[in-house]
Amino acid sequence: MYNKKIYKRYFTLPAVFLYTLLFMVPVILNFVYSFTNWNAIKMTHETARFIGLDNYIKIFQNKELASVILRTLVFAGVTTIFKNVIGFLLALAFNEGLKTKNILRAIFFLPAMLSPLIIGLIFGSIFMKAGFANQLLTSLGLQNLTRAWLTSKDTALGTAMFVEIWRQVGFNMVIYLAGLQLIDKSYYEAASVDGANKRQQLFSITLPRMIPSLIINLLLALSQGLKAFDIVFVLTGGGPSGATELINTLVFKEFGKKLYGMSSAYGVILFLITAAAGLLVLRIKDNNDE
Amino acid sequence: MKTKHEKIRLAVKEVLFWLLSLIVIVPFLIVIFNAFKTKPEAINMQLTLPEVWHFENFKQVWDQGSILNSLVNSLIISITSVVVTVVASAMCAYVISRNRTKENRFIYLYFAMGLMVPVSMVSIVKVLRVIHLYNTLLGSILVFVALILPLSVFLYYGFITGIPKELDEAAVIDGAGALRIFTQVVFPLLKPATVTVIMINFLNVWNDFQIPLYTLPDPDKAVIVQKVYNFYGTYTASWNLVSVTILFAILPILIVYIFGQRYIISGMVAGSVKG
Repeated sequence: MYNKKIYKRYFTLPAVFLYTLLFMVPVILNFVYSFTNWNAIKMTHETARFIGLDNYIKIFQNKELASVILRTLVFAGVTTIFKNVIGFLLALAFNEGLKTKNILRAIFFLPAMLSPLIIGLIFGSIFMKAGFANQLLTSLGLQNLTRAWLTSKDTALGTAMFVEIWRQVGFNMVIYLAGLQLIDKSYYEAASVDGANKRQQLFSITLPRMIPSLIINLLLALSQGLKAFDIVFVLTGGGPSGATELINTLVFKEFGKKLYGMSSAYGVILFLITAAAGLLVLRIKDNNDE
Repeated sequence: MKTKHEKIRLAVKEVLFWLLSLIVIVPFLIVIFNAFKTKPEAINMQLTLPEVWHFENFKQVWDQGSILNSLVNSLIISITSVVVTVVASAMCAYVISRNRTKENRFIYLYFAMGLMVPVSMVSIVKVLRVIHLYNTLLGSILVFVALILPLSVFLYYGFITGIPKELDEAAVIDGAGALRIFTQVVFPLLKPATVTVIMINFLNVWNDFQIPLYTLPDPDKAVIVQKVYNFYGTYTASWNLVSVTILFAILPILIVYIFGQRYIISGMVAGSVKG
């Protein structure tokens, strides 16, 4: 009954105002701009004319541009799978037993605390032609495996994905650890009394209870993968010859070329894909909740 | 009781995971070692100790790179945007969580959208130009606030739901006004959530490169992460000096991490599990 008196409406205004002005208005503007040829190619003035779907037609007719979208999906999909599988295995290992598990957790979580750009820079040096990766292979007698990881077309994308996985696997681990710690120990005790072995316990007790953690991790990893920018920007800049170009690096490139309309169109495509991915994961969640 | 066999198995497992952790540790060792080397010694970023430890590299980078300037810029941007976000999101989440009107329900969903939606940098730049805040620290701060608000509102919303509403009502009977109830009764109780919100957002803002890249092109206003990138662009072959800038950029984070590791991990987990 005191609701009106205590919970003043103006309390919400600063947050709603700033969020609207600098997040949601730009999202809507982006849709609008994507139907224009807004650009500043001529230094003297900017032009913007409504051109309907031309930007999108251009994107989908050009094979290379369309393959950027596919590549972004692959990047997000592959990194999501590895982050989750490795993250879960690490969580199982560091859940209990090991004496130094707390230090090991902290070590594996450390990369998630640091700037992706800086991590990209460090791995840029590790994967240069004479860098540590190849030094290591040579010292192990595997000279024939050495290659120019970031400048050859076959390996550049894989290397960038490796770095993204390395960066975030600890974060996924920590979320799974939190999930594991919520499981009541008595389940395992009862199961071992009944004679269930470790593997049976994993499949019938642990895994089903990991679904909430899995859903959080999927949502975060997919959206990180789809929006990936810094790492690829600094590792390869989208090269060699477009082999690692993702939607967000292209958004920046078009922006740099002052083709703002085109840049916005890519932004809209990213928006739609991210929204679709998010809805898909939430759908899985709802099915699971029932 | 653990059998001897089991103890050995655990010890082997322990060693194996420490070996595995080298994948994480070695890249940092490479940066640390090479930061103390000469330019030719660091050319291939080898995992070797420097022949002579060149501490003067740090002074050279500090002077040439105006590191202090960028650290200050990073601190101003991170602290201000986190403080503004804490205040704005706590107040907002408090009201929409306590008073579940249709309108407040909508505000909640409106913020939830922001958790997934990618930011539209091109249009953000346009808006900043219109309000004359493009290429200013204040402009970047406000952009950061807008982008980190959704998660913060979410975290506070979840936390406030667990605090009994009777507290507010008792305070109002004692004659306290809305603002006083919030600042003196409710906000202090939100401390665990506030710690999480501060940590997550501070890290995200400090580490971000994309927003300053679009909104702060002026090199004098560069934040530390931008500075590292610019330095790398200028001194491409001088990996020793680039390593030093990297250390300058990650040292503050490392120090905070070493001391607050427990809070950070559990805070981030609590945050994302609830969100």
